[in-house]
Amino acid sequence: MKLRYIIMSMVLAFLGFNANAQDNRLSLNLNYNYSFPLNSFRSDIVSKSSPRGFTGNLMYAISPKFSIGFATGYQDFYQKYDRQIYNLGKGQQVSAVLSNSLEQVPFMARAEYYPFGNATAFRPYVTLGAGGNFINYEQYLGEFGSSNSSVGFRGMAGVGVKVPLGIMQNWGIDVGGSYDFAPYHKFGMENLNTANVHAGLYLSFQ
Amino acid sequence: MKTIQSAMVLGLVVLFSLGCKKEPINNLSEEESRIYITDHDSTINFSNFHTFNVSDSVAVIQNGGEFHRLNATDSAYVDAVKNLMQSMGYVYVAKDQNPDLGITVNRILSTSTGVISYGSYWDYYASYWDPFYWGFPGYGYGMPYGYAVYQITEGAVSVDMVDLKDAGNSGKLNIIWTGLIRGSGIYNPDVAQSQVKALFDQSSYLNKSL
Repeated sequence: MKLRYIIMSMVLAFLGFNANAQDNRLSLNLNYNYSFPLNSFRSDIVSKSSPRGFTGNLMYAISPKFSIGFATGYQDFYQKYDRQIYNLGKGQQVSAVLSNSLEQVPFMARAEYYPFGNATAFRPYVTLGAGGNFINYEQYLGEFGSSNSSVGFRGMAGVGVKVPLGIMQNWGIDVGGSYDFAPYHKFGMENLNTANVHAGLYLSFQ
Repeated sequence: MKTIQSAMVLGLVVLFSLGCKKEPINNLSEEESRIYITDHDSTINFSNFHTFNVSDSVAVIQNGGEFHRLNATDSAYVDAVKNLMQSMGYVYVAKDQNPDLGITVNRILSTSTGVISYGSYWDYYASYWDPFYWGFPGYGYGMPYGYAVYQITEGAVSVDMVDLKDAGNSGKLNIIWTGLIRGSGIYNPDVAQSQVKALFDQSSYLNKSL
């Protein structure tokens, strides 16, 4: 997907640009993400969880306890269902192996709150985000497929903890989880809600 | 700092690798790639039909034209229809013995033709393959022709069932059941039996022995 490479290029450009930056308020976070489909998403499209994803965010610390920024990511969901006979109309049946494939690329404004600021070795946080969600949904009957791309709303709420490492404590580990809310009123479905867990690295720039 | 940045870049590459899309088409076997579509006249009671005949060749329908032939694959499909109809309780009779049902087997081929213009492709060819690569730095490429034509052929096998028993009363040959097979590897005599069986299996109303 082209969008993934655009995101990658932007992040790489950011890394290079900030090599000499003297502002310690910016931080970049890159995570591996594991996602569990919920609700209508789970019952109507894929019930299997997805190990194919990542998230990234770029945050600016307004104060030791509060950061705002931009979050994005990528997640690919896929499930192949055993051959079944589907009744399509009066007298018509189709026997096929059904494959559902759905990709999501969120782009959200994000806020993080650190109740203990920088005072502790472990920095727990709560986070909220809201914005858009690129969705590419493909469905295949056998090898014959159709696709639909759209943009929808996406909101998220999560918790996590950051563990600063290194002498300057300007980088560290981030682990956490989130609930992502994504309405999707197409093809009889209602939403693409997910529960997510992530683990990755963050880097604060000085 | 440089080390950490390098680690982040490496981590990013790993993350993007992990985030690759799983392509549905690449995860299908030949058998899984196939679909079987059947339809029938729901007002028909198939138990009223007792005998049948199958066409002695296959109609190859291609881009509006058609011809009949019988190669090994065609013959395998015709034989499969004959055998499986008999296993469902129908009696095979010669065409001149007034069969209740007439069955045809068809190969439907659709060929589409496309054209690729080399215009913009060649305009940037030197950036894809710098003439330096061939030992001619500073040279340009010449292109004596500007487009390429390609053809893609898609195919299907269909089996159609015609009501011959009531043709005299209705004044027409009603097609009362159709089956269509699409997907990879279907033009193969080794799979003909299983393909026709799949059509009949999902049409249990055809089976007189149930």
